[in-house]
Amino acid sequence: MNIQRPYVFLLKITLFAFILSALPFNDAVLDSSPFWMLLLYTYWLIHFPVKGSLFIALILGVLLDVLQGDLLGQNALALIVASIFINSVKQSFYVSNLSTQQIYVFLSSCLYLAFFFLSHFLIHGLTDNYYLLLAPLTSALIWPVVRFFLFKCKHQ
Amino acid sequence: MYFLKIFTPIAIAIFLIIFDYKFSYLNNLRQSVAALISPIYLVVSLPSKLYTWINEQGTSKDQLLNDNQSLNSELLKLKVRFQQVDALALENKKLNSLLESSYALQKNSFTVARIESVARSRLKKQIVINKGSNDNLKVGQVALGSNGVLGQITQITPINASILIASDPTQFVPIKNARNGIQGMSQGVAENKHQLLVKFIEPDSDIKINDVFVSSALGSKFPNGYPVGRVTHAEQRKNESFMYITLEPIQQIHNLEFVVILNNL
Repeated sequence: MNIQRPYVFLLKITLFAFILSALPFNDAVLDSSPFWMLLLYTYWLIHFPVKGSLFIALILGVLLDVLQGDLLGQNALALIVASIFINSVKQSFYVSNLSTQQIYVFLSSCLYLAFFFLSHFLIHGLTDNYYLLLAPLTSALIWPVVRFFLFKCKHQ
Repeated sequence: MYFLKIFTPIAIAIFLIIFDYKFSYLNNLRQSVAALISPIYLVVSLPSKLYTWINEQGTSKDQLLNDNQSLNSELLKLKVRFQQVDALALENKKLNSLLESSYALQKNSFTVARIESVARSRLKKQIVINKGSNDNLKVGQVALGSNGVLGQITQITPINASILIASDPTQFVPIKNARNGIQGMSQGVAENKHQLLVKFIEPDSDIKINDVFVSSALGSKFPNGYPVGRVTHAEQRKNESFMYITLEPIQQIHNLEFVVILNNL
């Protein structure tokens, strides 16, 4: 089997994450859908230890902000903070079983949501978007599927 | 060094948030990046385009004839109604010349666009249409639905544009009461997607439930006289400088298929 080069693989999963993030769903499904970019980037961070991962998170976040029409930096800040968490538990994440990995994904998604929500709250105020609180849970639940597909993709 | 490695990207992200919110320096960067990633919009909209195409192919001849008949009768009714508008415009022009007023009715040209998707972001209320800078659309142009003001174009790529709808908390629309002309400013409410707040209406103004607020040309951003919302609540709260008024937006985005973009004001 042929393992792909880190940046080629990153480019592929970024495109895939963008497509998933931009799919037109109704409000409830969109709000509670997993943080696709975070999930795919988490897999990349764990399997491809490279320098400057936080700057890559910044660039991916800004691209996501433009794609979704959010304030520039909003997704970027959330993705950087979640990436710092993933980097700090990287060793443990890599050797953990699936359910422990799901807990890590849940925690990083909670961090992502907290910072995404915080920047929105500071600028625009509270929101009635309660489905958003489900996003860390759906992210954790979908992690085994994401891991399986990315593993197949990586060893293509 | 480790501190720098962590805090530099965080500081850049915070800087971007503040600058994008407060100033418009980053608009060019946003438009360039949006143009770069616009093929993604194309890929994402393919299933809905395919669905529309299959739907159109599958429409029977009888259905088309029925639609044609009902649209023709609707067109006839609108033409008759438009004659009345023409007469009123002429009358208005005469009165203006008698009063030596500089006020003139605007003649707008439109671009019709189809909605591709609603709410691409989790926290922003926006819709994406199938026309962009290739069709001469620009950031800031106003979008109207069949019932009233829908919002404003905030982001554009060569093939599509994003419209921030009027009920978003970051969208401000100058409005006036259609009954008595009292002017204010509408703003979306973050806590409630289906509500607008009216700001800067002086205490004890004549505002009643079910009054309709229409867009005002104040500031020259929005056209004059298109419905924005209907009053659902009006009260004078203690120690508040202005009245507390809420509106229900007249233009809903459910089941909306086409929008009209005003080309000039």
